[in-house]
Order: sequence, then structure tokens, then C-alpha cells
Amino acid sequence: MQEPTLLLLTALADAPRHGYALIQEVSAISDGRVKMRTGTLYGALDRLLQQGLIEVAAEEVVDGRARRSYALTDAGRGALAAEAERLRAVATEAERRLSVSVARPRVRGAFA
Amino acid sequence: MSDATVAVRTALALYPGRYRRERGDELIVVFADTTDGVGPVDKVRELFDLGAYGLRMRTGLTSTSRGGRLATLAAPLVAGAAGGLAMGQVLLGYLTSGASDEGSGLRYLLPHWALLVAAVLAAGAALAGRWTAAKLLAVVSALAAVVDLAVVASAPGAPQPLWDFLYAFQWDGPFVLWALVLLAAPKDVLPVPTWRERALLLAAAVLAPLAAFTDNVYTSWYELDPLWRALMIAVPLLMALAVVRDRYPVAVAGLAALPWTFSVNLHGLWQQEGGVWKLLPMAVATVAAAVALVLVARRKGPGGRLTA
Repeated sequence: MQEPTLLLLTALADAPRHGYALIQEVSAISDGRVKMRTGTLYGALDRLLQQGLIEVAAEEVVDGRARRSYALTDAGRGALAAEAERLRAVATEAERRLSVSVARPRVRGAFA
Repeated sequence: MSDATVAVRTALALYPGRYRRERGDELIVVFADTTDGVGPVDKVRELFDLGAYGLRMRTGLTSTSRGGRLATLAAPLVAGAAGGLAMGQVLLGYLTSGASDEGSGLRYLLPHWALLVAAVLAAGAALAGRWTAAKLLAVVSALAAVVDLAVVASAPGAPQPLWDFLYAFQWDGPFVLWALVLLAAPKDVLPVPTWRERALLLAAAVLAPLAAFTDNVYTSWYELDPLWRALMIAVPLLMALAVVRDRYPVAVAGLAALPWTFSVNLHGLWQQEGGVWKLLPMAVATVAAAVALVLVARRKGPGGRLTA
């Protein structure tokens, strides 16, 4: 799963959100590293809709402005859970190996 | 859409009408929120991004469309082929100790070397999974190729600019067309390269110069029969069109090869057939056959059944 997809699914994991809220959430989750633009966001949303990972949760007009909210489907929730589990396993393994690593031998001056 | 600026409306005009009617207002609202309080540069980038997705939808090059998927799958091969052919040309130039470049001015050498260096760097970037950098470098390579073609065709005293242009197109054309394929690949589904993508890229980087130089195509190519030339264009074209039947492995190979086979044979075909007007009917017939094939295949659907 590519990072923008993971971030979008994560942004939708706790509640349905509309387009601009998703851009803000993705930026917050990635600590400002990933900033999605409007065209890129809708490209990703259309793909996730077609893959059945998200769905349109509500269509409403707020203050005279069209707003559509998106939510995770069961398939999307499952895909995100599987990816989170995979990342957790990698992180756990990385921590385990770091904890048992031996200090690197000093090469400099070894032949002195 | 009444409160949208002309620029936003222009960007939205690139979207298919149905999508624009369904999502236009929503896109305008998100665009307005996103660009609220940002500088003009960021606003232009947002606008460009908005228009770019519309253009992708209009041309069928989104990450879920066949065209987009085909370009994505072909991207490692295309980047590798361009880098390999550029490296091959550098080596060939070195081995012939600059015989062809000696006496050339900066206006010839600069685009030539920009083309080659950018293509090699683009392949390196693709190998590292840096697709944005790879695309930018491919654009630099393509622009350098266009400048090179323009310089050649507008050289003072050139008796036949079209002849010179098509002759130079044998070398420069593949880089322009491969760059277009790379640009057509949607960034959000371009792969983080695994050993498979890297192997494909490196294989293309080896095969492209081998195919180009082992038979010395650029010098002994003139003897080739026009029928073989036509086949060298038609076969990869038909292979690429296999995408409408979801035959991706065949289509990817065809699309990756077509820019080169088209470019190296266009000049010979034009010359052997006796000019543009004699070549035109064949080109029109080929395009018409390709379009008909796509329409029939689309109507039948992937399984060969009629879907209309």
C-alpha cells in the first residue's frame, strides 16, 4: 500500500470526512510531510471508491456549499487493519534487532 | 459554479462533462478552502494539479483506467530503455572519439548532451523509485530533444529541413515519445520498485542499445524493405492495443518498443515511399484500423462478449 493511500484510509478510520478535512487530516497525520492537492486527492478518492475501500457517506449542502463526506467500507477497514498489522510486525522486528545489536567494532587504528 | 474564478472554471473544463456536473461544485469548494490565504505560486500549483487530474480523466489516463495502468506498467521499461539508449549513444560517441561532434557549436552540443544526461539520470531516479524526479528529468530530456530537432531543421543552408528533421528524429524521437509514456503514468500507482521492476528496467537498459547498435541500424538501415519497416511499427502498435482486451504483458512490451521502432523507421519509410503525400494514406489507414480495432474490442469487452 502506497503512503498516500495509507494516510487517506487512516484519516477516515475514526469518522467520515469531506474533501478539505481529509487534506488537513493527512497533513496532520504525516506531521506536515504530505500535503495533498485537490486534483491528487480526488484522483485517490475516485480510485478508492472504485476499489470499494471507501464509500460516499453523505451528500449535503452546508452554508450554500456542496459537501460530500467519505467513509471507510468494511473492505477498507480490513485493508487498513492488515496494513497496520504488517507495519507493526516490521516495527517490532526492527526494535528487537536494535535491542540485541552489538556495538560496531572500531576499524580505525586496528592495524596500528 | 457561479463564484468560481475563470482560472478554476478553465481547469474544470478539462474534466468530462458528467464528472464536472456531479463533482464540480465539490471540487470548487475544496479548491477554495485549500487555496485560502496561500501565495500565488501555491495557488498556481493547486490549479495545475486540479487541471492535470481533469486532463487525465479526459484522456483515460487515471490510475484506474486501462491507459493509466498500461503506462504505469510500462514505466520501468520505458525509463530503462531511454537511459540505456542514451548511455549507448554516449559510449558510441566516446568510441568514435567525437568524430561526429567535432566542429559542432554549442547550440548543437548543449541539447544533445542535456538529452543524454537527463535520460540516464531519469533511469537512475526510476531505479531508486523517485518517480517525480524521473518524470522531470524525462521532460528535460524530451525538451532537449525537441530543441535539438528544431536546431537541426532550422540550420542555415539546410536544403531539405524536413529530411533533416526526420533524419534527426531517428535519434531524438524515442526520447520524446518515451517521456510522454512516463508522463502518462499516474504517480499514485507507480510502484516502489521491487527486484522485478528493477530487473525489467535494467533489462530494457541493456536491450535498447543492443537492438539499436548491434545491427548498426542507424547506418545500414537504409537497405531495409519498406514492408519490414511498416511491420516494425504495426506489430508493436497492435501489441499495445491488446490493452483493450486486458492483455497487459503483451501491451506493455508493445508500448515500450513502439517509440523506438516508430522513430527509427519513420525517416526511411518517408524516404522510400517518396514523401509525405505517399506516406499519408498508409498512416491514415493504420490509424483508422487501430481505432476500429479499439472500438470493436471495447464493444466486445474483455471476455470477447458484446457488452453494448
